[in-house]
Amino acid sequence: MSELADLLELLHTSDRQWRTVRLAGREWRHEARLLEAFRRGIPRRRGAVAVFGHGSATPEPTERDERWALWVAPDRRVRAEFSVGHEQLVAVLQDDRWWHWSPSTGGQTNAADSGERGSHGTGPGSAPLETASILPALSFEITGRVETAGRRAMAVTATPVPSARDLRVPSGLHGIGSGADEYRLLVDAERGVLLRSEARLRGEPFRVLEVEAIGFDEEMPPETFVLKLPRAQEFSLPPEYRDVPVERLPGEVPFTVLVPEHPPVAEDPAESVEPPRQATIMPPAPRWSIPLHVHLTYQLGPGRILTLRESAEPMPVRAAGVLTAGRHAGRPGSDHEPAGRERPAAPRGDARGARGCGDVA
Amino acid sequence: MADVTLLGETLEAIYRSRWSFHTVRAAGVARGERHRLWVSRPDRVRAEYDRENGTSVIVRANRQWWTWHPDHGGMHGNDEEVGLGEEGALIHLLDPTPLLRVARLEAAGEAEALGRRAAVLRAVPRSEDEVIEPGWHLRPEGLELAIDLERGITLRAGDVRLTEVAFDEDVHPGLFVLEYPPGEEPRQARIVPPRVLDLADASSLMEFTVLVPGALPEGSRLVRCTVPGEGRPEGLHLVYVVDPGALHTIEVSQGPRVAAEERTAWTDWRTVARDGVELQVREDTSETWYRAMALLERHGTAAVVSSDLPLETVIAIARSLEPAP
Repeated sequence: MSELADLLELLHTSDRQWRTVRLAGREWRHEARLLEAFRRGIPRRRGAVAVFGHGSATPEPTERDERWALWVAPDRRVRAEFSVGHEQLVAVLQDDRWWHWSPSTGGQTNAADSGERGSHGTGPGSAPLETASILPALSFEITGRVETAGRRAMAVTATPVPSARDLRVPSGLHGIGSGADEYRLLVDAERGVLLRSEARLRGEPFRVLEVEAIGFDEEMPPETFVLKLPRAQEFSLPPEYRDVPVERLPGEVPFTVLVPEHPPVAEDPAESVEPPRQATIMPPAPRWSIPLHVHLTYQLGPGRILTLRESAEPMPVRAAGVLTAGRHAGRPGSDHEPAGRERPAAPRGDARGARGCGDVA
Repeated sequence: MADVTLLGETLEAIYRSRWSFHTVRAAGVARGERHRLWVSRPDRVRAEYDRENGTSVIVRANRQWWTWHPDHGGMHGNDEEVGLGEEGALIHLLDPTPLLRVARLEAAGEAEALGRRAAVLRAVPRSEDEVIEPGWHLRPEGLELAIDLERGITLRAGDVRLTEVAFDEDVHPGLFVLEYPPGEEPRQARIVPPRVLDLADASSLMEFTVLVPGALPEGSRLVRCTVPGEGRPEGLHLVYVVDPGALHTIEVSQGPRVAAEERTAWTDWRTVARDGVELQVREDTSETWYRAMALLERHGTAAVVSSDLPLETVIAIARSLEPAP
């Protein structure tokens, strides 16, 4: 009899251990540590940002603590409620179709064109159910048995292991927090669902997913998977970006698009010189206060690009390194100062007329 | 807790396969062809594959690698510069751990394979589509596997199977060095970037008349002049961009091999004449891509002009080619 075999089988077969599942819980993040851990898996590159015009900086909270809920039923029916930015959204999915509502976007759906309009995320509630994805990436140590959310659970400490073959950064861990030194998991002893995951960096947590309520094999009324809009609202197609030839830009956007008079070209002679044949017109994203804007990208070599982002309205400017305690901050991590390894992207705040560059090596 | 199921036992064996041996010596058959494999963890591999006219060999020692192919000869390299990629048709059998994530594994029973206790599994992709992981290709209909219950490696996966396997033997270090036949000098796999030169310097090196455009669109600037990175420079490549914005490129390639290479590279050249000058032209067009090319020979030099500008503009640039000052 092996507890480890039991654990591995639970995690591998978890999605076969229930017919329907209802989950509700919270996601806590320490933003600076989360970013630091995530960047561990990405090769370091140099870069610089310069802003011409003006924008508005919104300090980011040090920590976030957000609620989510998820309902999953046969025939690929899903209802998800979770936070994006500063608002809560609701999404209902069936097969490849989805319906979505949030205060800033209103109702949107791809139902009329599901093949072309992509998929929809289901928020942090998915990770506790996608347990097989973590199996190749972790080494497990069972540390005890506990009870949580009214369920018996195995307490497990897990550490990332590189692939035996190619020493790559382990994949499959994004849902519970990429780049951790260690994960502390509570695994439902009957169904294999992750009831809690805590991703840790240098002994401190940076992402916690916690199931606070869970129900298996409940009958779910059909209206669970129907999204009702507020009165007088209707679903619309989601706005999508469009690639257009550069020469057509003047007729496509209501502002003048500027190009550098003599832009740099790829320095490496092994790289071809590629002019930006296409510009990308990005629709407004009211949720993030992002106006209609245009991306124009010059390829300068492997991993090196020059991107111009231009708009008529001010773009929001993220003030890197300026993190303040959020409304829900306080648990479970201690309130540390941000790591401060990143130099601020210049300039911050109202960047009217600014011209500086800041390394973000 | 109930007794461990065969699936649980097999999953644990697969999970432990990352630490279950130091060395392996194996032979096997993949799609009807015979292979041999030696592995010394963490980073030594030798894979041999019998072909009709000889044996091809792949050897890796950390990031260094060597290959021998009876038709193509020897090659060596370093992953830092050019990755090896292929390590034989058996090596993925030693690491079934990717299947834990991408496949749904179901135990079909126990079996004996190569005198070893094994579990027979059915592996089906978790997604609706086929799954391709390094070495593993799972089609929607699934794949039958035999997993060694002691070491966790795969003894059989579809039409790839081991015919012999031994663990933790002493492996002679010489196996992980590839000796080439006498007189055989392996080629080095490396990327040789072209050399960047000043146009005047490049012109002086060439044994042909270097041509430059006498007429270019307003705003054009020369951004690159390159010659091949090694050996006697047999060709010259010029790149111009058109400002503001470097929104267009004009490239001029020239040299003794240009005419033959370009004419065989494309089959849709057509001949046009402008004011008594004959050129060959062609165009590539798609929804997001346009490229016009014009090829002509002048002063004994063949040159091809290539650009995203309209064909008539490219023809005019080609017609303006003249000896560099």
